[in-house]
Amino acid sequence: MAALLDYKCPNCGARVEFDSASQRMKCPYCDSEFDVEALSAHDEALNNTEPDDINWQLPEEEWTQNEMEGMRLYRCNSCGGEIVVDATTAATVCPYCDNPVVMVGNLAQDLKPDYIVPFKLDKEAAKSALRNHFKGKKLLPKVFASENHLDEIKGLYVPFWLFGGEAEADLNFDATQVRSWRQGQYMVTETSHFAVERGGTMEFEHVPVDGASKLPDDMMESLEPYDFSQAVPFMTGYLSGYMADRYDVSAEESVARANERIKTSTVQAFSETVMNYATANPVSQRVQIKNGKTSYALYPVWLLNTTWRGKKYVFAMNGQTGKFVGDELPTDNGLYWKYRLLYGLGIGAALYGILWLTTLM
Amino acid sequence: MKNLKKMKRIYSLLICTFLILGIVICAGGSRVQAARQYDHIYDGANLLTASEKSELEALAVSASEEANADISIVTVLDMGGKSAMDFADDWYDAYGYGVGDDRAGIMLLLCMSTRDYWMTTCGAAYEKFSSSDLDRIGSDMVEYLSYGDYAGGFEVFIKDARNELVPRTYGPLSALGCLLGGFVTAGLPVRAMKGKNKSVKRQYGAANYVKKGSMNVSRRADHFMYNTHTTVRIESEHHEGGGGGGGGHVSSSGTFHGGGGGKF
Repeated sequence: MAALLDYKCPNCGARVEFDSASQRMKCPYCDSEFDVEALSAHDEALNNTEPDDINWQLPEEEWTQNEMEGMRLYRCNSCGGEIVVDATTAATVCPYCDNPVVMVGNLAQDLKPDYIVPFKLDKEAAKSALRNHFKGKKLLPKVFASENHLDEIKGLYVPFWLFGGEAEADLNFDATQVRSWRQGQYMVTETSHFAVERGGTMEFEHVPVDGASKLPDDMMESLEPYDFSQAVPFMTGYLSGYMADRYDVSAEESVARANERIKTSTVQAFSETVMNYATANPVSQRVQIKNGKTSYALYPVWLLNTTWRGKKYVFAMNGQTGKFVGDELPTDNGLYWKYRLLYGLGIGAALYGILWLTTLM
Repeated sequence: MKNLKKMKRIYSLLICTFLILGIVICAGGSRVQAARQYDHIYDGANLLTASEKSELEALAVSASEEANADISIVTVLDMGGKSAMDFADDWYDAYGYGVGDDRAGIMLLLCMSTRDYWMTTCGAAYEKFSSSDLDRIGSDMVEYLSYGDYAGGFEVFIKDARNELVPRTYGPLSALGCLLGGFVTAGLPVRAMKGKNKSVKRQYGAANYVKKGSMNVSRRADHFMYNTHTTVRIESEHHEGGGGGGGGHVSSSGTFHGGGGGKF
């Protein structure tokens, strides 16, 4: 069975967590700080002396094969509590002792992530971003911000596939230039048609595609961009204290979306080089991607689940940049019509004023 | 609930203000006092039947009253060698056309032998008709005159002239229209407000992930293929003898006239 990982402070034996402010592992009890890499090595040495010996026998008649495939059972190293998690969960928090646990087994089953962008912003930042999110939205019901209660807030490492490569473009346009002049009693308009060709290459790096089917793709794309220069080679230590998901959408399935985005931007960039024409209609567009590279990365996301009048609202914050998005907020119909009437009266009065002024002329 | 009542009161008050404003503007017209030798319609060329003439006369009288200026029509067989402009101006001055001290009015002259028409303007009416106004009235009217529908052409002249002279007023109906228009237009900013409640949006492309300076345009060709031509006739901008507005003149009797005309 898979190994369960939590890091113990070499100094006092308490659990240590990744601290987003210092970008190091920190013991919340004795304030000792450790390098992620050093602690990982230390922990590994400790674990090697005590091999895990946990054997689980699940009652077969209660779970169908399909159900089993989607679940994993763990025992917390700190308190011994049993944890049932999704097969895609890579890191979580023990519900009994609040100890951060990393399911190394779940990660080990598949590709190990190549990169990780560590959390830069903490839970408090996410909470205040949620409050700010409600500001300036005039049609939001006034009681929403106060009545909407936070059910859950979790820092989640979301699996992303990163695509990079050289896009080779080959575009043809039917372009026109127009000039007109007066000839006696006639206006002559001359339209000159041109066959315009553009070709070339441009390179894309780390175009992300969400590899977790649980999270809506549009919400994950709304959180972009991430600053990849702050990404580091993956180490399990970074997961400590956060949740993490393993990918369940393969790279092959994600490649279509990456192609679509790369093609759109390539065509746009090369179309912008067609200048000095009145019109330019694309006749053919071909984009090929060469030397394509795929890597697997975990990006930090704060997920906030709230409820208002029985309806669930999900919000997400980019754990690196603080960009905040969420489900569509409810509209107060009373406020909607109030503004509609007020604006309508204002615009109507202005229109009438203009009409009235024309009578004076 | 209390707020709703308060709002309703404010809205009804505003609507009342609009209605009253409209009525006051509507009632702004005044009466006309004309003293001249002929009727509004003088049909010397005998182009109209008796019933047509009386109908047009009634129309011209009411239009003149509304416009506070003389709107009249004169038809003749011949102008004795005078130009249409001179003949019309002299007729207007000699027979006491026009309303008030400045002899405000517009008179259409139609001469059958030369097939000329001329609209002479005087006094306050001179200001109201620009040369393009006169051109427009002329071309509206000529459509009828050229086919021999004189009564139809004259009716167009009287109505067009009246519409130029009577100040446009906007009553309760247009106030209502404005409010309705405002209400519809207000949908745009309010829709934008509603849009703020939505924050999730898919990415359009991958422009954020282009390696800086990696774009390389290796093929760039612009081949000229062919030309196409389209030719459109330009509508003549000025009718012959267009006057009025800025280009007035003084008639033989010393009165200042504007006007415009042409052939039919």
